[in-house]
Amino acid sequence: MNLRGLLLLLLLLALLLPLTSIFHSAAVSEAGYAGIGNSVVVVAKENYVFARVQIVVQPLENNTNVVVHGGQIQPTRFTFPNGTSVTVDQPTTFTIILSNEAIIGVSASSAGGPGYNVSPDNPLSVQVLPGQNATSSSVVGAIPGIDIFQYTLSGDYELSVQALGMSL
Amino acid sequence: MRTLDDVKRYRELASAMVDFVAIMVVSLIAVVVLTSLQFVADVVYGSPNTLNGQALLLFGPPFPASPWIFLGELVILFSGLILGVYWVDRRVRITKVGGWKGALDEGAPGAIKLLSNIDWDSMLGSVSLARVSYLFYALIKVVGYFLLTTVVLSFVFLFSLGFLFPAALSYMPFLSLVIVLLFTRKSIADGFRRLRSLDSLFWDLRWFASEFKRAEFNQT
Repeated sequence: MNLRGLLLLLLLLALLLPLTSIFHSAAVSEAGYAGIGNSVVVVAKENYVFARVQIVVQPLENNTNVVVHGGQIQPTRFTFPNGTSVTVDQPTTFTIILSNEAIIGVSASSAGGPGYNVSPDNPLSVQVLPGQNATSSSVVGAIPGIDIFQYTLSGDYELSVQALGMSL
Repeated sequence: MRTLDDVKRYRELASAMVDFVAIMVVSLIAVVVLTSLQFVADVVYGSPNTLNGQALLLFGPPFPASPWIFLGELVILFSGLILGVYWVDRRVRITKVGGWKGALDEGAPGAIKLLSNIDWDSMLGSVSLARVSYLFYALIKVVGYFLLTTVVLSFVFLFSLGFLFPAALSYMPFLSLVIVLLFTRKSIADGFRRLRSLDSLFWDLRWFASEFKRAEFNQT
């Protein structure tokens, strides 16, 4: 191997290393959100980010150490941003693909509020707002360049959210 | 004349360092490519929740992956290190030496001819480069062995006593350092000796080269 070959390899490595910075992740662990009555999962992203969101809902109805909200076991309901609602009676993983509207983030925006905090450095955000419903913190479509999606859960459940994204 | 053999070996070491760095860079590129492919697969097809638990990958954001991918990254990195060390040692070991024996058989005229044919400036440059290369090589080797030992010990500990004393995992790097220093103490001592001998070799050669050139000048 001569020095020119080594320099080419170093150049290739220098080109490849920033590649890993186009990937983004955000997550909410299961432990903090067990047995909550009403919650809103807020997923926010820059509009140039392609994201895959996995929301795992575990209803607690048959669990022996169930935390009961409001004195009796609540059936778990999951509501999508468009208003569609489903009853969750067994452990269910909701996989949601959030496609990108722009290809490259030339004019990236920054915004923060209840349940979201998005900036070019942190283009993907996931938070759970316990004890709230979607209408109380609705900012969907209010910020140009930023997509915000709210998924509402009600009942007794455990919840974990993982969002993985990719952008140029 | 044995000094000539040493210089030849050090020159080979200096040139083998380029190969060593190239092997390490190729293994780093392989890890970055593997990681990026796993990231893309995670985003497009979903993370492998069902594959024997999860691990976080080297480089980049905390993306989940199969532990086999994480293990693959470590194997690639450490294979690169071991292959690099083997390659450098092999090149230095198989360096052809003793080329001066034939010339010495001719007696004093042969020896003078041999010394006259030496490119002293290039030889001094090689020895000087070999000093830096050797130091760099020795450092990378010790750091690499330390990382390898830390990873192996951590894995062994996690699957044995780790269940009983999980907090003790943080002592693994310290234990690894002690083990690596114990096992490489001879090699480290040899390294310091070699660096010192390279230093004295450099100055001896410099003195000899100037004396030889002065003698040649006086002769003409």
